[in-house]
Amino acid sequence: MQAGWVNQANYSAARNGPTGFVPQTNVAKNNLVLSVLYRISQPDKPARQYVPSQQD
Amino acid sequence: MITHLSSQRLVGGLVRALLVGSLLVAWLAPVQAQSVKMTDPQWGSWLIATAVLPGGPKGWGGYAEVQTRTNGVMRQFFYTELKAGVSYGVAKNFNLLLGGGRYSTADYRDLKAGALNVERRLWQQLTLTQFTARLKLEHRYRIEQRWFRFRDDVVPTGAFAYRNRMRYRFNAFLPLNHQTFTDKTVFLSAYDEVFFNPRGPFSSVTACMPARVTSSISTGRCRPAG
Repeated sequence: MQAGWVNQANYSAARNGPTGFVPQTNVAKNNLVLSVLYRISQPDKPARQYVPSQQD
Repeated sequence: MITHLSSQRLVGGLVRALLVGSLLVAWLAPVQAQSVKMTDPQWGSWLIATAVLPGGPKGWGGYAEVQTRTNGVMRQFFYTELKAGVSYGVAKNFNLLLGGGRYSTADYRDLKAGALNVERRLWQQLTLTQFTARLKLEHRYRIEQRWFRFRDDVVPTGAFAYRNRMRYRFNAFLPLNHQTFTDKTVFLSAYDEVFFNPRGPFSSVTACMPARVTSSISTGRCRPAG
């Protein structure tokens, strides 16, 4: 189980638009993340070291 | 004489302070002028459920995941993901994965109208893990192929039906009560991921490479299976 915070930011490159110079923009949002990750056990197989990585 | 020297030092200090201050202003001002930052004041939420089949003796494994996102915290639902992948452990620290998924985005104010966009995605992934002492580090490289289907009444200007994307994620894990991850391990994790779009989303400027950055800090606990 994991609980966390994710900040997701979208960057748009600066450009010369029809109305003139458009600066680089950064639109961001904060998110609360709740995750359950279940590892299917394989007791007959040797356990390998792992990290509880978010697949996403 | 002493007073004269003190005055000189004072003037010298003032000049230096002004010079440093001016340089700072000159350095910061263009940054503010050339970049626009907007942060949604409202927090959203991501709810994720994943089942992982660890790689067996021959290295083959897999996973499946369902994910939903909301515009507010636990309300204003607008997004779902369904995805799965087959993995192959080339070596202890070296994993390959082929994945696929379906991603649906709707307007939370009008869910009855159906999804605004449904994306189907394939990706190829390489994960390198460093089990260095207590701190574990993971590097994930991903190449994605994305197919979009927009609702009939949704016509985003310059939208592409197909796009590629490249991603890199750096993830660090710190188990707190054990040296390695095992049952009942409490841990901290932080990651940063960059997304590169070789063709701009909804933009006619194809030379640009807009990017997305996702930063995360989380805490978790491993519970015994079964």
